[in-house]
Amino acid sequence: MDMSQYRELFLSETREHINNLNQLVVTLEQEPDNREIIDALFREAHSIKGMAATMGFDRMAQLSHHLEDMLDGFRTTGEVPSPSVDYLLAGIDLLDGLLDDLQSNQPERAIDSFMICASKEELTPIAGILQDTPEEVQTIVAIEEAPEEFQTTVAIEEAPEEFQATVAIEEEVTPLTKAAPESDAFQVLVELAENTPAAAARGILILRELEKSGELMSSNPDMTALRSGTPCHQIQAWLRTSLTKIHIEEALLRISGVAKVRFIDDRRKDENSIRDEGDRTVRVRTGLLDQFVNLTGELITNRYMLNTATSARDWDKLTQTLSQTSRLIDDLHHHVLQARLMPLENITGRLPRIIRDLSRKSDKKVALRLIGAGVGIDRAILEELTDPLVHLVRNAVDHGIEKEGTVTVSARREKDLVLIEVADDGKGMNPEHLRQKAVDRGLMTAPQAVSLCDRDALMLVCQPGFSTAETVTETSGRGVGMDVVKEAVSSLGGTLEIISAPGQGARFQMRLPLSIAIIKILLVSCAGHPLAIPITRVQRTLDLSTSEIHYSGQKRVFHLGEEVVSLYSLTETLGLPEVAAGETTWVVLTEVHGRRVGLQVDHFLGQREAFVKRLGFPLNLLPGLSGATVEGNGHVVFIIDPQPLLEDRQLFSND
Amino acid sequence: MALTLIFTLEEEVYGLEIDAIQEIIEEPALHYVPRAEGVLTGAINFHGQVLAVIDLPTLLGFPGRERDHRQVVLTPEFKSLVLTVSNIQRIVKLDLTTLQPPPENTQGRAIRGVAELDEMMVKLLDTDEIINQLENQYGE
Amino acid sequence: MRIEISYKFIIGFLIVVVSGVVVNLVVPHLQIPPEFQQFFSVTCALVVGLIFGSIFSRAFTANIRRLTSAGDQISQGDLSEDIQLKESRFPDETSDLANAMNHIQKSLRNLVGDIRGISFKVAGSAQNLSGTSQEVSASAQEVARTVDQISKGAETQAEMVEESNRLFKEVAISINLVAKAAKNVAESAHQTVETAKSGSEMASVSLGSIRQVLAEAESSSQQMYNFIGQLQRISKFVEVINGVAQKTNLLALNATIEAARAGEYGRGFAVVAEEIRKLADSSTISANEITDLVEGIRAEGQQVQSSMGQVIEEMESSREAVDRTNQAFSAITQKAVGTQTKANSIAELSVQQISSAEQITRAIDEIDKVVSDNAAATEQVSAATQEQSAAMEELAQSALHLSNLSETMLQIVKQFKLAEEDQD
Repeated sequence: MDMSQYRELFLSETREHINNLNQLVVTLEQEPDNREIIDALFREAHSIKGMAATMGFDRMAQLSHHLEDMLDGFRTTGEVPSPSVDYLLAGIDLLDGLLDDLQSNQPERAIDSFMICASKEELTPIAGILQDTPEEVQTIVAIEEAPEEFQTTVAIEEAPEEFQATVAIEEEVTPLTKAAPESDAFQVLVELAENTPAAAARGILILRELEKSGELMSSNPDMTALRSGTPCHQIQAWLRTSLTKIHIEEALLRISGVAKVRFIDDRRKDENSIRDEGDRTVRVRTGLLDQFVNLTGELITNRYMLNTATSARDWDKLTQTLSQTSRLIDDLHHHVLQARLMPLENITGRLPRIIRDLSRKSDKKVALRLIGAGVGIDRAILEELTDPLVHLVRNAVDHGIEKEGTVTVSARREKDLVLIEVADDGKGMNPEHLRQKAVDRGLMTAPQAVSLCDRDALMLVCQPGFSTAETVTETSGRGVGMDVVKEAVSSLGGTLEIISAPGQGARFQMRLPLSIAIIKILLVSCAGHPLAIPITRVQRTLDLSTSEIHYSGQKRVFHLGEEVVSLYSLTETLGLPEVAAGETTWVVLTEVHGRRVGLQVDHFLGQREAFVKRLGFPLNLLPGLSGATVEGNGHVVFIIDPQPLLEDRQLFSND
Repeated sequence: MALTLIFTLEEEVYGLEIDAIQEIIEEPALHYVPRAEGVLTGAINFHGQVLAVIDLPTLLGFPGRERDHRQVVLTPEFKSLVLTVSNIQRIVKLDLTTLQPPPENTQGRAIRGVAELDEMMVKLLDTDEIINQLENQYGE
Repeated sequence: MRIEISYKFIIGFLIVVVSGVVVNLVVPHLQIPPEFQQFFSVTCALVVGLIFGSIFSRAFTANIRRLTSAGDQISQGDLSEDIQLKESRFPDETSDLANAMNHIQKSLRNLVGDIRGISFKVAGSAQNLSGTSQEVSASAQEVARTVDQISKGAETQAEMVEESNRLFKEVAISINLVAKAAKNVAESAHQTVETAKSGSEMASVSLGSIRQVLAEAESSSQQMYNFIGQLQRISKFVEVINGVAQKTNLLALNATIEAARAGEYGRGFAVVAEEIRKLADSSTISANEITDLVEGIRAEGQQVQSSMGQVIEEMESSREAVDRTNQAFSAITQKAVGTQTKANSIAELSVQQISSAEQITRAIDEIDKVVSDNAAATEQVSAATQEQSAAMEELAQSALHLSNLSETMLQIVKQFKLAEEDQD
């Protein structure tokens, strides 16, 4: 079986499981005797083990098996000694490392040293070897339920019954851990000949035979049922064995009354992985899938109706059917987008662990509050959001909170946007301080700094080469600065806003589109060519009369309130022939490196939602093109990003 | 033996291995690409994908000649580039064992080598080189 | 109160006596000396007697005078005025006399008036009679003259009637001639009509055949046009075939590519694709050949169509000529028929005229007789009239004489003056 096609799936799922492990362990630290958490941890480890084994990643399978065993031990004792927590975390980190290796196509790193530790620890589980861990540092992690309106989303996304079903099955699977690693699980279907006397007795014989040949995981009917005399003509059994199927078949056929033996290969495992794929990775509810099927069915019917209407030249019917089709496509689009949505908890999952580690390292007492983690966001956005979110949380701990405090990560829907906020109740930010620093760093002149309003002054932290940390700590030395955060948010079509005042904490608000594939654009035209500018890049549109435009040297400028804004012609920037200027100059006000810039266009063609197409090579190399969209008439319209466009033309200089 | 799409340009015969070809398409609508220049003549909407159209004759040093109404879409391996060509002939089997190094005067023109076919010399295109050249030209 | 004259005298006398007595009685009472009393009484008595005496005599004399003058007037023949006496309170015999005289006058007046009236009337009648007789006389003469003239006219009339009779006979002869000629004309007109009709029929027949030929030519032309249209459709189809061949070619190319991608499995498919490509190529070649053929056929067809057009045009013009001929024949027929009808009616009328002429001649003969009779009668009338005229003359003489007599009588009566109003 070619496993390569599952690789991506495996990587993303395992990453998810590892996140969950981290989160669960941190929670476990708070409630060491919570059985449910231990069970959940066990399930996560088990899932990783199963998948890794399937994919043939032995070390990861081995390590997760090891962790699973340990957790199984905790399950039986019902409690977790606190030193083991650190050990568990170390194991999880190692898993993460292994996953990194796999992701970058490198051989898996060694795990022997850890495993050796483990075996020691297994001998003396209570003593532990990591006793030197400072016990007094306690991390408080409170995962709060999402506010009322998100609960529906959460419920839908999690599909609780199925989850429970999975749990039940996996618990049955437990005994297999004792089986040899090379053993194989499959389903055996044994059919008895018709009118076989004492069917139940023969059933017991069959089960015994199976037990002999390997690990009998489950059967239907099971031993107890058969003992009670339930008649049966067919026995289904899950078997894990190192014996070959032929052996087993021969053995079974020796029992009189057995008519037929069939093996169903690895179906259990396939089912598992399919369910994983369904529940975790793609997260398509059965209901949603049904809707897909229904919609597709309707679309097919519609296609025939269209064909009929077209050949009959029945325009009324055609129009009617077309409008129906467009409604169906809208529905389908909506549902597909739904399918793409993933709850934010996929990336907030690792936050408790990060907070725990950070608070230990910086010797601060930090609590984490998660609100609205169930809010769904487009997969693509979520993936891009991981680093910025982590960075913001680190920043909050490093620069915001002084000795003790709470970091709140909350998410909520705002119309067709998602607002993700990282807030701390720390010392806050001082705009005056930031202005001074900008001048010190030579980023701007003193009068420029003074002219900035507080809101813009706070945004200075997003300027490249601007760091407010007095000393570069371990965490902020990772190379992810606020400029990268802002860039990431912008490239996702979102905006970043900072709300803070000295002594009042800081709130970093990211507003992101629900889906990266669909963004709002402003359609403009230059020299007859339509062009699209993402609305998120547009601060406002203006119509300037000729008298409002002045010359400052070679440059054209205009006044916007107190501010003097440079004006560039988009047509000229694109190297298109300039159209004779009319009375009114249409201007798109945008921002380049935190400064407002006017971009002159020939016409505004309107505003609409556009499905963004990624650009192929070498279009993606052209500066200033962030994507393209296809209009109703099939025309391709490119989405331009003013900042790199102007940068590239060297029209914009940092004077 | 490699299946190769043969097309002529002026007096010369060029070959493009069909392993690199995804599809040959007919006169798609060409759309404006902001700041496109050189061999990048525009973009097309190919089954919902926005693909760049590269003028192969210009790349090979024959700008401004007649073009075939058909265009060649390369495989995703070769970035799904759309190549404008001239006079598509047919698909032939080319014996690559007879492949000779390209002549001196075609240096830097994305020619992998020259093969013989029915007493014709077929210049086999180097798709990797085409992409390299484009990368150099547009990637800075 | 009528008082006779004699009584009036007595009364007067008595009044004087009484007055003397009265004065004698009254005087003593007056302071008049007694010596004068006698005197006075006497004077008074005298005065009264004088007064009365004068009054009486004057009245009496006046009446007599008036009566005398009235008598004079009557004798003069003036009967116009009545006798009018002075009014008196005490009329007397004079008044009676005046009344009697008035009676006489009145009777006279009536008598004279009657005479005069009658004389007037007689005079008028006489005059009238005289005038009338004269007039009658004149008329009679006139009648005589007229009768004479009539007599003469009757003679002329007879002559003219005779002349008419002669002329009418001549007319009847020429009418006969006309009738004969008209008959001839009608006959030849009939012949013309027959000839024209057969000519027209022949023209119609030739027109019909020309039309048929023309229709055939036109339908051939239409067929040729349709044929060319079909050819154009064929060209369209060939275009489609060409397009299909091109598309097939493209598909074959793509199929080859796909087949190559399928590796070993695609080998057979590649062969098929190559075959398809060859088919597409040969389709293209055939399609091009068809195009050439169609083009050639179309060119020829167009030539045929244009020459056909010319033929049709010529046909059209000859059709028009025949059409005109036919129309001319129709006109001739129409006119000849008209002529025939008219000639026929002339002949008919001539016959009628002949019979009428005979009737007229007969009537004229009748007239001739009547005229002769008239002439004789007129002569008799003329003689009678002359006799009458002489008698009339005598009557006129007597009337004139009577008139003179009445005139004389009237002069006599006129001497009496009757009333004012009668005088003039």
